[in-house]
Amino acid sequence: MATDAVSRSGSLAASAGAFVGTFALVLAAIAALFAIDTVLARADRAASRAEGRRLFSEGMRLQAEGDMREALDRLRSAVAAERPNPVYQRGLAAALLAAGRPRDAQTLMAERLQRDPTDAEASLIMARALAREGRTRQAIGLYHRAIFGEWGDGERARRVGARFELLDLLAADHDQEQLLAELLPLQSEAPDDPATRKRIAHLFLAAGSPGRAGAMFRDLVRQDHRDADSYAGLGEAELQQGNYRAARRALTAGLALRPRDERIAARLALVDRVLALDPTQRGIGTSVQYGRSLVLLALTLTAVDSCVGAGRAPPHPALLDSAKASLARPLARGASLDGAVDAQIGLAVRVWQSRPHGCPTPEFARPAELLMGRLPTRIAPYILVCEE
Amino acid sequence: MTAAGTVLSRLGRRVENLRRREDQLALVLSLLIGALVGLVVVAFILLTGRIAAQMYPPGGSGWRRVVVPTLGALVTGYLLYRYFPLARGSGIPQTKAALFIQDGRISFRTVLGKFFCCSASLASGIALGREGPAVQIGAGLASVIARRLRMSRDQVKALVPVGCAAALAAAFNTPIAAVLFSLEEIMGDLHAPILGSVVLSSATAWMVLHLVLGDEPLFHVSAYHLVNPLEFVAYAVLGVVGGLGSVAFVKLLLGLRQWFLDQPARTQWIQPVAGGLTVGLMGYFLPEILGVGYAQVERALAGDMLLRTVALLAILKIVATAVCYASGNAGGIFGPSLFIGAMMGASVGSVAHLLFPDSTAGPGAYALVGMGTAFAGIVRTPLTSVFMIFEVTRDYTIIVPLMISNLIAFFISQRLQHQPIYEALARQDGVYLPTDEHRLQRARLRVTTAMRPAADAMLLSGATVADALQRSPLGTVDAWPVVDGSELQGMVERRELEHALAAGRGDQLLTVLLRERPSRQRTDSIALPHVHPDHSLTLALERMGTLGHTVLPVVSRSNIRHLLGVVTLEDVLAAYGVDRDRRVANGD
Repeated sequence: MATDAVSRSGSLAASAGAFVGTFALVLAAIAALFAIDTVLARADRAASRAEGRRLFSEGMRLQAEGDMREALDRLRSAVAAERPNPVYQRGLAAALLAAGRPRDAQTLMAERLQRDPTDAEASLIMARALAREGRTRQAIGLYHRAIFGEWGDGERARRVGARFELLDLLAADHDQEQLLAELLPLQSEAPDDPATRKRIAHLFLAAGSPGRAGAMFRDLVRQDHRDADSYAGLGEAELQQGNYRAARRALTAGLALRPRDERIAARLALVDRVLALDPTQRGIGTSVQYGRSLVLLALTLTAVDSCVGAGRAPPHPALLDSAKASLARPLARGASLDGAVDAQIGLAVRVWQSRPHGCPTPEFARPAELLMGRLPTRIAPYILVCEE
Repeated sequence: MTAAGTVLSRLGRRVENLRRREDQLALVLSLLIGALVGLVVVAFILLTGRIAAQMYPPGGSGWRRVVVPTLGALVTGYLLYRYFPLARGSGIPQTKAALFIQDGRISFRTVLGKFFCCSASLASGIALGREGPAVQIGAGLASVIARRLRMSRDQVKALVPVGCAAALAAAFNTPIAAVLFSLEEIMGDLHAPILGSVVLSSATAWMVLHLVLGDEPLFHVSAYHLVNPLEFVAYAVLGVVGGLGSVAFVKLLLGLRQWFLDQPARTQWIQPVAGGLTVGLMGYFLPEILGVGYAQVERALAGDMLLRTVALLAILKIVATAVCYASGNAGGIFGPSLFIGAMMGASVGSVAHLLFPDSTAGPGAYALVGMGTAFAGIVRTPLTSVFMIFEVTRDYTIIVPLMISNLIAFFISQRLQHQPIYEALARQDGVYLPTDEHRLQRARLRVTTAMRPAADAMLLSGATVADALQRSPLGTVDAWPVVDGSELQGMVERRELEHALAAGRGDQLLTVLLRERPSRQRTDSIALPHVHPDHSLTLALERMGTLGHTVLPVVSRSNIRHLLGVVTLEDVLAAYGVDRDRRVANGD
């Protein structure tokens, strides 16, 4: 009996040994395979990284050579070889954008931003792609993400670069209010070199803030008396503020430094025409003022007529008739010349303001347009009295 | 007995007890199998990929692309013929055959053969997939472990799909689709009771995959969405194209395979060379055709391929895969189905986008849907294909067009190619697997289809024993339900009545006869033999066999005493198409 028990316990032990042995074998196989897989995966990743590097540099070279099709192929393969590499992803997106495929660039960068929302460079590429598609509002949002995102090396300069891109977009979009709002913090962030300050001053002009632009240009001129661009900018700022004589002085100085600059010459010619037309200028006699006010009224009428002639409905026929009658009617004997000047200017302003919306200004009427920008404020009390 | 002997004996008993608790053991094994299979499949993927990169590197010479697959096919062809005959082909029909015919038995030799031959075959550029072989490797490992642990036959069979799910989860990075595929295709039953184990192993394998390879999906897919509701028309067209393409692929593959099978057996070892040479010659001109081709699928998904390229790749891949598989190379059709689908989808998408650029998404979205469509058309697992694409993309928005397209392809494939591919492949090898039709028929054959009205067979409780014997409705049966009004009182057997008559109780009422039975038989509804109308006829047969009756009452599920009818053995046999009278007449 004892032998039976021993034999039974022996067989049980053998069976248990086989059972435990199988488990041990499986566990050992798992451990060994894990080690093998880890080594294989590491080798695979290293090979993929090397392949990715090779393909990326080849892609960038091809892009620089202008072979966009092959470049995109290599860059895409580089991304496939090392998917998590943000440099490759951004490189491919930038290449797609350069190849005129903003939608594909957006898709790629959307994935990148989903993974890392603070990736400033990806936001910037995304913003450019959106801007390219005319989706300005979304692009502005992405520019902001880029400006406040993580840049890594050279953070300040790249952030300022992104802000300048945003400002250029806003300037192109004629969004003066937002442009000004973005410009103000840039004054303190941007490097204090003349080129950057000049760029900011020009942007202030585009933002409809000629006072700030003028101050910056004045500083620049003070620092460098031979900078024709700064003189031209100052002239423009003065022109927009209605300081025609100061504008003339600045533009004349600029043209003297760069006599062949047609742009400065054209602006100077315009200022001269404005000075010759301005009936409110100090130091001219009342009769000259009256004559100029008549020319101004005639110019505004012609501008409105040309607009109506282009198929637009006449705004206020009675007003136009009254203006035409006023031009045709000689000044009554004994009438006050000062009063007549004010009346003609007031009529010119009302005719100008009654132009149909979106009516383009013909070249001959540019001086009148500039004057009209500031005349209403000068003669507002008179107009109010007339309308009452 | 020594102290050590006592300890060993005690330990032995404990282990034996543990071994006997197979259900709990199966859960532990599911985890282990999931981890082991996951790691093996990861090694399989990495090895195949690395060797392939060395064998035919991008930008390599054209002759190399011809020689490498041809030589690869020659070497693996010989190894398969000489040493691993069961490791040929995809692995999925072989796994199903092992599961349904060989009690889940897959040898370790087959596992080894599949691993090494497939690695060599796929690495040399043969245009087949790695998922099918991975499934057989996973199933084989599960089978080997279960048999080494001396588990019961049923448990070995139950662990085979567990290995399949783990393999697919690791090979394709789709744990949910892996579970569904194991149930839908391998088991053929989405309600199989092994769901828990399958889910556990799939999840474990997926975790192992992520641990080793990181959290990268198999394909990087952009977030596509429906641009315009009218796009559904384009997706429906894709369903039609995908369905027809799938049928063309399956018919070509089966036709070619039959041709190769008809050749003399002694040529079997060299037949794979035909596949290697075909794919090599195609690869000479178009390298994208070589290997699994997932890099090209990814490019198609990015919408970055020209229309003529994707159309050409779709056609050439159909031919290349059909020849490679039919000639007996080791590798699956799972991956090529996705490749073919992606290219067909990209082709349809390119045309749609060309015609209606503002109302359709880019070709990439169609390539994505095309993958699922071809899979549904070729493999015929529509649910798996939807979930697989969902898992690959991790995006919900493409699911509705995907479902539409899949169902159209599935329907067309079902109409034009009667047998699903894995079933047809098994039949070519002389193996008859359980078919969908069989399963459907089994599900269709319910008690309600064979039962007859209660009035035809019942006895009234007020009748006497003599009357009952004289009337004996449905003369061939050996028992009758006794009812009082509409309430079933019990079943009375012929011999019971005959005993009562012989004992001189011919005038006794049936209700009295039933009342004289032991109280449990009268009151316990479970003790009352019965079936419900929605029960299967198989269950009715089983109950008849257990009780030794040739008739069973069919009762309501809401009131077990409410008799709805009766079902007799004769009715059941007639429902199965066995005409008893004719057999008797023929003297069978």
